[in-house]
Amino acid sequence: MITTVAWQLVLLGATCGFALLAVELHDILHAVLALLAMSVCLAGLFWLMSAPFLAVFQLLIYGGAIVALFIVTVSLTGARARSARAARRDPVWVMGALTCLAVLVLVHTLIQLRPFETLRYALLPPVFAEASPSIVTQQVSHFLWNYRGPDLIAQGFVALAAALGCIALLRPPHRRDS
Amino acid sequence: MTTMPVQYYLLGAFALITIGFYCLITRRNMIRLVIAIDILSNAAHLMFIVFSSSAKPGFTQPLAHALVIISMAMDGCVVAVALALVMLAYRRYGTRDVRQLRKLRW
Repeated sequence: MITTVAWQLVLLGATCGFALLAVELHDILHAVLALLAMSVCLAGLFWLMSAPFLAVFQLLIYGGAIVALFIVTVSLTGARARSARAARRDPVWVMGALTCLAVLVLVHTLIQLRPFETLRYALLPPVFAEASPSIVTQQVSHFLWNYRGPDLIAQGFVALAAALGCIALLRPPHRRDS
Repeated sequence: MTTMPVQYYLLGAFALITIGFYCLITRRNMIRLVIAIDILSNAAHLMFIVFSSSAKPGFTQPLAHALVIISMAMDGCVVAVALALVMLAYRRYGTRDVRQLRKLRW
């Protein structure tokens, strides 16, 4: 039986290893996938450090949104075109399938190792089963705006500024500019 | 609950910071530089959570949760704008090499 400390050591080493791979791999798409693996390992570390919400946010933001942005950028700038032609016959899909299997085993083991109380809510009978959707929304917004109001407003402004900045940067060139 | 000593975590966080700075210094591909910024912010988050959970093992301060969540959201915005800049520079100058962007100089 592997202890929690051993899992933490393994995840910390894997985080550093995948970060090094993200820097050193020649193919930029493989580097982005190494960054994704680093995010997953860091989320496991957060999980074992009693920060389950951070683990979820790490997977959502870094493992999901940011990696998707990287992949879109790599595909739109053609950064991978030359190396992809060279490595077309590589059995990358086997490595991908093995990595997915390893991640599944890792997540299952982590949940078995540290079953947080938060997850037990999923096993309870639904609290809002009798309530209308508007009451559920009201409860959720009450929690969000009463306990995390200021930082949510700040995050909303930052996200809006980033979206407007991206739209301004990626707008089609005007005739006078070109 | 037994947890790993803080020194190991700090060692790992410093390793991540070293890798990020190494990538920022040595690489010329702009996408790679954004990856380095991502690694650096991850290292900062890890260090923040390590310090906040070192007082009582098995318990992380809720304030640290909130601050790191804010930082994650802001880092997502930073990466989005940085990648938009990369795409704009590629569209305008046809290169991803940051040292070739000398037209941006004064």
